[in-house]
Amino acid sequence: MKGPPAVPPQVFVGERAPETSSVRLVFLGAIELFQKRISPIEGPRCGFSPSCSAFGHQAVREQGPVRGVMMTADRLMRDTIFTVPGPGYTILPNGYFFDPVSRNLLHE
Amino acid sequence: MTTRPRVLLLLLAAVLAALPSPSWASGKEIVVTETVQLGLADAFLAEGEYYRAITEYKKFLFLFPDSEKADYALFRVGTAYYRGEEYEPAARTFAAVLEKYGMGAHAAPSAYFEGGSLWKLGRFDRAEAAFDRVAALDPSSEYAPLSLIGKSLLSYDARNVPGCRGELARFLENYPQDARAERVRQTIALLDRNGEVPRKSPAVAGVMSAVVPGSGYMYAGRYGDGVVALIVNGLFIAGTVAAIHQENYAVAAIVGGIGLPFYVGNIYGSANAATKWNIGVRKELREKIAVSLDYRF
Repeated sequence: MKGPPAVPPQVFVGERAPETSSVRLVFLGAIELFQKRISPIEGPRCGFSPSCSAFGHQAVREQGPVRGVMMTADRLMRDTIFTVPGPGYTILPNGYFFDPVSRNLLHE
Repeated sequence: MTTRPRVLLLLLAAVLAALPSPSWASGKEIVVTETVQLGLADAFLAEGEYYRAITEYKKFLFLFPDSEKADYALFRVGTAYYRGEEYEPAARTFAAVLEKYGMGAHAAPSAYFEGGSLWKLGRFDRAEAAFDRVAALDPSSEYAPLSLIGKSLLSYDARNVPGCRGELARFLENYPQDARAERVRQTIALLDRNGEVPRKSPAVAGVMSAVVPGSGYMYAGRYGDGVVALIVNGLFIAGTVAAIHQENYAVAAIVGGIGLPFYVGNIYGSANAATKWNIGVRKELREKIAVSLDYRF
């Protein structure tokens, strides 16, 4: 809507509560290590948006380590040449399949 | 005072008097009338300047609280919020039109758009009640048949397909001569052809993939993902079993440990694929119904 926002934003982008669960920290640390050290060697190869590592990071952070790891394993098995556009996937203008965590929560 | 300064002062006064005064020169005045104020607000709304339009409509209500067009101004405040996708204040404003001005000319449209705003907010029960009020307020209003179409789609969104069909049948019963009657007939036929929306059970998909990895994906129509899940999990299971047979338990634990998330992920993913399939089917039929009715909120 043109004009000032009704409520000023209270949370800034990138700001989040500090992580306290040790199991979750291990998984998040492993994914961050992959993102910073391993992934840049060959560059982006994932056909999805968000990428599998970003998806996994978000899934573990938001859904906990058990469900997050299951969701990440499922995503890794789906990131193949067999993935085709359809009702499950929206194609973005850059050619990536849009598949955020929120679309994989088993909610109809 | 000597003669010279007096002459200078007189001269200065003459020059100042001769200069045109900006406030008087044009001979025009700004007179705010109801028409001017509403015209300005309407212009802002037409340009998509919703916040400015709201300000001007509110100014109108402040300056002319007893105007005959006060209900129109408040209704347009709600419209501006609605068009600006601010559904919470829109619903509040439309409710206020009904509360303050009762059975006026904008009562039925206000109830209709209150229903629309509440629908957008996902408050299906309250939206349904608002749609019900439209026909009660003014059965001859153009919004009365529209409210029935709205209610039918609302029922569909609330996963009540028989309710959706029922509202459309009520439309034909109450407004058989309406221009949309033929479209409504076609939509009822579309719903009858599809019967109940087909479903794939996420639980069945999960169990299938637990027994044979990947089969749940195939059940949900994702054959490629099913083949990949079958190969990945087959290799991990075969590797673990082979290591156990060779009494190489450390390797078995490592291979099995890595493979376990993929096995569980394959069960989760199959259930997820079935859920996505259900969403896709529902969405497709919803689109067909909206197109058939030529109805967009």
